[in-house]
Amino acid sequence: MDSLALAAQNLTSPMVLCFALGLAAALARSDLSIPEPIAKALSIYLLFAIGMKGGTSVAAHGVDATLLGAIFAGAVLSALIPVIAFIALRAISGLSRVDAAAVAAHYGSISIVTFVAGTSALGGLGIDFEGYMVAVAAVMEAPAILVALYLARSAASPEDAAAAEEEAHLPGEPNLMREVLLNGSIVLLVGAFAIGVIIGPAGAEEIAPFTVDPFKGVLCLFLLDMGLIAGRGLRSSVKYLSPPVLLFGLVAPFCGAALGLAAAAIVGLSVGGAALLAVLSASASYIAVPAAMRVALPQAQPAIYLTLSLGVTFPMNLTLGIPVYIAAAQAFLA
Amino acid sequence: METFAKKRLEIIVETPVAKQACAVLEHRGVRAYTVMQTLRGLGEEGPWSGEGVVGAAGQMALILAVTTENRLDGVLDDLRVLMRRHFGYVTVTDCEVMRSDRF
Repeated sequence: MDSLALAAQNLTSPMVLCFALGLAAALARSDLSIPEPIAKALSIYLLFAIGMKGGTSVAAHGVDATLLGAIFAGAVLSALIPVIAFIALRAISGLSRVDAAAVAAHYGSISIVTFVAGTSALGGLGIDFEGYMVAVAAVMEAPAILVALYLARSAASPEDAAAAEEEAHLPGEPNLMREVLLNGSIVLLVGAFAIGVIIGPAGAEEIAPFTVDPFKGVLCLFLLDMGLIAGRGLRSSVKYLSPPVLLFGLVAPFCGAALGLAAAAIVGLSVGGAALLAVLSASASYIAVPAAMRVALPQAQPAIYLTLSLGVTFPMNLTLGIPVYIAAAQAFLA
Repeated sequence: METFAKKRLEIIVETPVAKQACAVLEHRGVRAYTVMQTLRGLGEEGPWSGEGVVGAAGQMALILAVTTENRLDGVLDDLRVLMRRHFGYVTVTDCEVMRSDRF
């Protein structure tokens, strides 16, 4: 299937249409909303199901030599992409060093919902992927944050450095890496993956009516909510995005995906695994990293990095990016 | 009914640093506080809304605390440091409580 046919099929999938509905409703100022506890329950279900699926797949097919390579590649990509993003943003956007570093951290880290949508698109096309890509996704969350903090802090003003130093001496100073590595999404994803490995296909079969059958329907509802959130964010904060920043949000994912595909070719991933590494490299975080940035780089403007990752890059990846990355993986690695 | 004079603090703070604000209160001997979610508001950076926000970033928490006057200066010293780089504000008002020993 060529990339145009893939894109057309993706655009008319129920998941993307649900996202479009949410986006349109928010932009039209509808009062449609999904209560927060329900949205949280949906995301818990999705993380549990995708982690379980990955673990079960590893239990069924075993671990091959590419596992360590894929995890290493993920960590390197997560550390490398923010550096490239930072340099590009400083060159074209006029963002301050702190804002550029905060945006760069988002693009080095990953969006697990984009990853889930990618696995769903691959499933729809009947393309298999390595189950341990779930573990690669978990590994890619943190390195970008460390690199971006280094980039931002190496040029902090004396006043900012003094304020940060004074704040660090207050009781209850958050341990940033602990909060990122042990955030609920990562714990659930990795935990469900481990459970999947332990119980194997036979154990997974017992709960398949819960973890497999409703998956796409739940993903539809979750993406409806994501559309609402993205639309509200765009409506209120798009004015903070200058044209070069907007352009970055649209182009950077394709550069990240290209790096992901190159890494996948070196490591020797399958077409499905390569497409997912491209999706991960192309996606931008909007849950773990924004919270980390509010703690570690509070002077960076959330209206820029949240709107860009959630309101621009996420919809682009969901509609156009994922089919393009899959088609590129097929063309590049088949 | 007899009541006792205390100080009431209302702290609006970014959710990601709400835990640290609570740690500051506890460290300074505040023995009673409540953390609440908020919906939306308006501040120096313009209007904000916690509605539909994914994750803690972008959300604000309200911490309601009651303490004694002699603990207040220490609490405010630490909160001033914490709030220097974050969104939010602190208000202090006089209040009366029924059970003085709880605070």
